[in-house]
Amino acid sequence: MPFDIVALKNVWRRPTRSVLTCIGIALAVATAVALLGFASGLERSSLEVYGAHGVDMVVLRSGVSERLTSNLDERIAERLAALPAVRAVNPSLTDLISFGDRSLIGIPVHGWPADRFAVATLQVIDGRRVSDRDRAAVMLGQGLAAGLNKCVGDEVEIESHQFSIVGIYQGANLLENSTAVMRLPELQELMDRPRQVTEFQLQLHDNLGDARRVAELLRPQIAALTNAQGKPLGLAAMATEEFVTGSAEVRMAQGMAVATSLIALLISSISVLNTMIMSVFERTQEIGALRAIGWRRSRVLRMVLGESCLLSAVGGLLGIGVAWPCILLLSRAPALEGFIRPELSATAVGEGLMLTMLLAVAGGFYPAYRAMRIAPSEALRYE
Amino acid sequence: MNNPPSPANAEAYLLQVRQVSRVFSDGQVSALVDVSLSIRRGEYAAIVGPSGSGKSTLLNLLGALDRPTHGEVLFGGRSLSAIRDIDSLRACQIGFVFQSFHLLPTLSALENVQIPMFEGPRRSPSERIRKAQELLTIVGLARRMHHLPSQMSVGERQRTAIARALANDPPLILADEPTGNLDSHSGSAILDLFDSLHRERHVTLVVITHSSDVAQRAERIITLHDGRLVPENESGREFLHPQGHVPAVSNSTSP
Repeated sequence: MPFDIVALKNVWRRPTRSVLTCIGIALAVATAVALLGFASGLERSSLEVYGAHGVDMVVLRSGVSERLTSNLDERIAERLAALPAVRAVNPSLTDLISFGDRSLIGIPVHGWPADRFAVATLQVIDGRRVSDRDRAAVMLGQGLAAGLNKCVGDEVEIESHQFSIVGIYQGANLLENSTAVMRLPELQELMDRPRQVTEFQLQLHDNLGDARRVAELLRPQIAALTNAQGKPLGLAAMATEEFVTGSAEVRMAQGMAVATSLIALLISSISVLNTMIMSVFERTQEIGALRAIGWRRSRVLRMVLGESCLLSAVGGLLGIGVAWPCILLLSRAPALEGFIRPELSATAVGEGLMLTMLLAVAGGFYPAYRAMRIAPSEALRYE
Repeated sequence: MNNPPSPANAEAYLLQVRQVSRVFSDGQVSALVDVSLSIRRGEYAAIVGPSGSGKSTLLNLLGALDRPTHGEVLFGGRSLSAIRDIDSLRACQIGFVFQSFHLLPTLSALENVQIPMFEGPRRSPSERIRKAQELLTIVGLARRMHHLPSQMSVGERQRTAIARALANDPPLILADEPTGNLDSHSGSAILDLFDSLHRERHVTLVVITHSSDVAQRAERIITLHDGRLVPENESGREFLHPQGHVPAVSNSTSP
């Protein structure tokens, strides 16, 4: 009989208690995996969107923590375009809009010049791109159009104004598929932000070598740009990856995911602790007898930790299995529809397994320590 | 007679208890007072005495489960206080049989017997199984190996516990009221088993008991009263209640 069988059979001694503990662990791990997966999915999706448009760098107002609150004069684009390493600049104004009648809230809408690379790199699947001749025209991502049940030629109401849908595009992923694009001047007017943009998207020359190294060299040059009076323009330039990783949306999603996961895991580890300590108390005499017949303290520790690891492993694997439907449900929630890619990455599974082991140790160590300290003569005295 | 311990007879005696006292932590209860005795290798001894006389305390000291407040206990001539790996000593040199068996309820008889082998001499899993099968056959449970304790009679459970005590071939078996939870028929069968183990395997047996039936099977009766040894010529077999149990207050005298 292998030693592990003893732990396995001990866990099965109280099947109802063990199953309930496993379910608790499973729910905690599923929550953690789903939320952490959601956060990392958001980051990956954002990177894909910028990557699909060939954006190497993003320029924002320095010091802003939220992209949407960045406020820059669109004419700075000419200064940026004049930098030798810069191939193209796309001034971008992004804001959030709602389609109240469809319960679609917080939909990102981009205002882009019709003749720049961002519009040019949109993959149009129906209709056409917006042009400088258009008035009150909008393009919709495929997912958004489906959500609104609209097609090319239909009208859509945005901020109490009617816009005509001239094209539908297939974005790089679900995130971009749930956006809208219109001409920059029209969004500036709609949002009452004349000549303002939130960011500049830069493409760098391909022949300069590694884009990240070039971005590093370019960063101080952009930060040093001044206005006509010699005052700094207050720009912060970042490589796309750095920008996405540090963006408020991604960090907030990660922070919320980590905080919620920690609370779920804390509750779960208390559940493991409770189960294991009850189990040890119930078996005081039995453990005393095991010590009497020669089991070392370390073996008792191994047995109880083994039981805790087993409970956590079963709960953890169950939780990882449950995480997938959770992610699917999250991705289909009306408020999140289109923002989350329903996928269970190897990283999220790895994180789930790591959390499971943390749970096992956190919840099992104290009971195992108590069990290890049981004095055989004391335990057997109550025979 | 209680043999006086001396270096010359250390080889002959498996256990030597030298002027041992045990006072419990609150300092109020002296469970044992100045006890000295020796047990020969291969001897079958019964420790008797009324409740609270210190029998279990003495067994705990003999079995290295507790330490004396004063005096020392020698195992094979070595002081237990000088042995660093006391767990290993208990695993390899001492087999315990408890009144309540203390079998793991989730394990079969075959698995329960293997429990001490995790700490004994290194054996492969198949060797452990073979050894457990051999021991269960010796105790008459060849057909019950795969039964759980809950599927066995109390007598069979105690047989399993005896097989477990023999798992690492210890020279000493300590039994605490081994027939205390058994009916007379099962108790008698267990005593027969002890007799045969003693006779055929030359195991040293020390049994704590209230029962005259059990004590009368032993070669020697050690009597405790109020934590002190009653001289053997004063205790004798007449100390025991002929129908079963030692009287709560016996006619023995303290030294």
